[in-house]
Amino acid sequence: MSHLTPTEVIRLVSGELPPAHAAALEAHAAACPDCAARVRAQRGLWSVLGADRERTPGGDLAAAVVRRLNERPAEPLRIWSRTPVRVAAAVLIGIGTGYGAAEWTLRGAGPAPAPVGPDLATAGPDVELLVTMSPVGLYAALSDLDADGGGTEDAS
Amino acid sequence: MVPIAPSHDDESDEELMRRLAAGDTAALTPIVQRHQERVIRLAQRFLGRADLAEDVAQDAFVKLYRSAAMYQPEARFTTWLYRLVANLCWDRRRGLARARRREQEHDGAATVPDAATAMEADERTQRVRAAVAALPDRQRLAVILHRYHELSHKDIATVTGWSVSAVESCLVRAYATLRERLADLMDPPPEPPGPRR
Ligand SMILES: [Zn+2]
Repeated sequence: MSHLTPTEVIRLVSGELPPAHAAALEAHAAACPDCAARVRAQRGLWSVLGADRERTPGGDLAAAVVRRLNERPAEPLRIWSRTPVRVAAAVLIGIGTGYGAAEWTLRGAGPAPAPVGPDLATAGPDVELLVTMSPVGLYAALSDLDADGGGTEDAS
Repeated sequence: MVPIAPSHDDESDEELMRRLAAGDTAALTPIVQRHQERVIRLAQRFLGRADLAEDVAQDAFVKLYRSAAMYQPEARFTTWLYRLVANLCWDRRRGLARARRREQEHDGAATVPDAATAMEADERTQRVRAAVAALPDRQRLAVILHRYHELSHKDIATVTGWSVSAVESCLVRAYATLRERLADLMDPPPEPPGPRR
């Protein structure tokens, strides 16, 4: 059997390999000082990294989220969930405030939304979110960051 | 007003998302309570700032609520959530990077990497956090998802939209760098389980 690849070493140590595959790699490492040393080094790092368990604030995040939602009631964009978002936004501009408010009330999802015009203006990030929720969108966003020095070297 | 509801431990994430998509706002609180820790942990480690992490987490759940109708139950909920949070962290990071550049231009001095300074920690922990914080963004995100959120290479690829081989490349480079930078923190290596002499 050939030596463990760097990825095999990582996956072996993180425990994400199927048992038979892991056993085969362990068997090779048991007979190969080079691979054994690499596995040992990765185990050492894994343990050093894992010893850092950060504390997270125990506050009531749900209440904060609810407050934020109430400060800025949800936009009527949700009613267009099965329609391409940008088309929906354009249509929404066309039909104006009344319909959006009526639709919202119909759904019983809370107070009537802010006027559609201003709301659409502030809804920008959410529209963007829906677009970027696709992996392709995220990939594009990440590639963008690379222009800021985010690590283009990883793109191989 | 959006009500605060008691927790619904027996309901699946998918069911809670269906309720949110149908406009049932009472489903928000249990889903936040169930996932807030993982969201804050990811943001805190990626951004290196506890104050921003909570803000990002609030953003994440606001967006989760507002895009619940887009959620497809065939995607695992946590993967979908991680993707949403990763997007927000990435945007926030870009903002921080721009602010830092402006600051540097203005002051003519580099600012300290934020991770180690902003979170209370002992010296050893600070070393680890500083080493992770110094990784390029992609490598850092991959390591955080892999080591601290126990995502497989494949899941990281799903969350980030990178190919599995790109994820693996990030992890190989990142761990190599970290092994080098943190070598002195590692315990003396155990005897290799090699053939007996
Ligand atoms: Zn070998």
